Amino acid sequence: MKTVLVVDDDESLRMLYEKEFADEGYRVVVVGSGKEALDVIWKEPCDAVILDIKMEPPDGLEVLGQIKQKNRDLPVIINTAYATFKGDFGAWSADAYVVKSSDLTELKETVKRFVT
Amino acid sequence: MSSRKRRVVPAGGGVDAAAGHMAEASLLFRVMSFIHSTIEMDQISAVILSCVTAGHALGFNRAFLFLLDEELKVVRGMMGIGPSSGEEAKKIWENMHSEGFSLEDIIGIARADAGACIQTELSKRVRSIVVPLVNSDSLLVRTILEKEVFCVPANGSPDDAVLAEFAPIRSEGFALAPVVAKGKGLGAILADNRYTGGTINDEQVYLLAALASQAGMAVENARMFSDAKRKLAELKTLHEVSKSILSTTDLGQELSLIARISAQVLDANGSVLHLIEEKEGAGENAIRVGAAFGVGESVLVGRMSGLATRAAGEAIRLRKPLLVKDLASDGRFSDMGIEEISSLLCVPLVALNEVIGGITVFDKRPVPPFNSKAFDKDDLRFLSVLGDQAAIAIQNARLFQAVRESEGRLREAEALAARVERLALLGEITSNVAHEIRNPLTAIGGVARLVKRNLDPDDERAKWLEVILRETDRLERLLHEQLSLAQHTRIRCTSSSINVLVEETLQLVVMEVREKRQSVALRLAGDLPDLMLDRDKIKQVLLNLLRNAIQNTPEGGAIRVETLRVETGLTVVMNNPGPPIPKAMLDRLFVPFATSKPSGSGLGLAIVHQIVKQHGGTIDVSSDEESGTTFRVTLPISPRHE
Repeated sequence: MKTVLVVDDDESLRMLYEKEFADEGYRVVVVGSGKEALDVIWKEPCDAVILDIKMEPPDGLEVLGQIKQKNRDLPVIINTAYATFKGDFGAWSADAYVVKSSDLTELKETVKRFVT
Repeated sequence: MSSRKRRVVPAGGGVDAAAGHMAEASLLFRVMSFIHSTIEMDQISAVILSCVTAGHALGFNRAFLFLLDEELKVVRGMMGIGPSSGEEAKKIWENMHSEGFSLEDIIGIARADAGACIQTELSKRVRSIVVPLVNSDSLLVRTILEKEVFCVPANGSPDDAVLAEFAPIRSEGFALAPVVAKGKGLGAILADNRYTGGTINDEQVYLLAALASQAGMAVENARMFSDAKRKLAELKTLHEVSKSILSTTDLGQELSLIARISAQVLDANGSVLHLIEEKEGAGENAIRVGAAFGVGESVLVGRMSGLATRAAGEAIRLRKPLLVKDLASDGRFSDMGIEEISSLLCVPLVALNEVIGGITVFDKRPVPPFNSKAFDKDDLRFLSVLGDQAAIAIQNARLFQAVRESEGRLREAEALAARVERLALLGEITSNVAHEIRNPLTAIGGVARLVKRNLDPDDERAKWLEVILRETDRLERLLHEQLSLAQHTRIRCTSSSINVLVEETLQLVVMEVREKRQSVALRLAGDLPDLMLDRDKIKQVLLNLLRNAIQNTPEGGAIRVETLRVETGLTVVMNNPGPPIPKAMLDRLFVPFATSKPSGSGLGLAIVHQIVKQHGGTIDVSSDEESGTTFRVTLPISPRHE
């Protein structure tokens, strides 16, 4: 069973993603901040990271940087309400960039692509 | 010829003669002190003539004063004193005898009554005598120019040619003495004994001549005094006029004011004010009418319409005043055959050494005794001074206008800058808000989807969840559009022909145009360079504007699409007839959500504006009753993309 780490500071979305990805057959770990993410990430086996950007520091870009420094091959998928970070240097090391939508199809398919 | 020149010499010596001389001298002295007691021309004339007729003095029946008019070069009668008939003569003398008036009394009465003396029948008749100086046979003229005394005895032949000029006063035998000042002849005094018919003796003639020559000084003084008074009055008027001219800074009002004042101050029937045309393309010294007053207004139309222009044009060209006393006989204007106007005066308006226009006045109000409408040199002088003031005032008003216009443009630029800033701020705010909205929206929609998925297929509640989903979808779409506006999405440019893009866009709206039975008039310039454009985005712009035009044009209307070369690049013009957009709306057309239409998101034009800006171009719109609404998109050849 593949593990997905979801990082988002919005509680409702955490609830939603946890349920949705569990339904997809993944083991889901949810954290509510960049700090928690960095605490947890190397302690648990992780096949993909779904990462929000706009959070209290360390924000998503910072976390992305740190993850990629340690393990370049770990897929990190940015999932954010903002489309602007597409042009941001800091986001380019991400493996995918998804703009949040209530229709989770795109997100799910992107995760599937990287996990299998 | 029955006149003869007689040098009059006082009678010979002896004590009686000496006493006689003394009496004469003392008489003269008394008379002179009366004459010099006043400085008003009318009073002096009355005093002089009274002295001539008073029994205590020279004792003639009647006396007349003639003066030389330098400007018109004529001699004319001024005043006459004496009875107008034999009966009246008798009555007056009886009266004077019984009342026992002294010379002083008589002089005093005459002086007080000077105004009335001018109006008597006798004075009116003598004023009708006008003799041109060129008439060298005239006794009057000779008296003045030769400074000689003439004595014409009455010989009972009133048809004598020499007497013809005196016909109005029916003088047949008289003495005529020159009035001289500083060696120059100023006029003449004629004295006769029409009623008593007595011969005029040498002593009387001598006294008359002495009196006349002394009177010259007084007359000269009086003239200078009245000149000075007139100049003072002119100065005062000029002062008042200057104050009034400078009372407004509005150019239109200024011009009307100057036209009116010029006419009024010169007592003219009307005036026209011309200004030199400043617009480009006007010929050198092309002039236009700035204002007209009184008869000036009718001079500008119909048959007379060339008159003002010709007069002003002449004065402006020569930079000198133009005085036409008689239009019909002046070679410069006689060909126009104008009868309604007889005289005009035009002075150029010069400010800081530059001619800016001219002011022309027409037909002075007729003034007796000649009832001439002609202007004279004094008028010319006065109008010149007035013109200088006016020129300065006009330049002032123009400066004010220029300042106001700059202020207006400055304010426009400020408003534009503020609008741009608002848009940027708006963009930022909406961007933040939009993004923040996304999270909750994702949660709401996502959870609704989740729940719906886990319901039984025939569960009714599915339909309610669908409502939630529909609305969240709608919100998400709005957000998407919103954010694509707020974003700085990069444009991808390729070398493109705007004409091709226009035609391609037109293809997309053919059906809509046909449905509304409208037509599109296309005028594409042939010499347009290809520009670096993001084709899809530019087509989006064109499509948006075209759809706008189609929607706002009434059925059957004609839309006009044009492309043309301009200095910085090219311009696409889109014009449609139809009700004009109110001014308040025009300012906010490109602000998101500002348009009032219920359909559409209100974002179309805002997006258009952004795309145009990204290409380094400009877009503006104008709208009025006659020409409808016109959008102008200008794209530069060498843009600085954002």
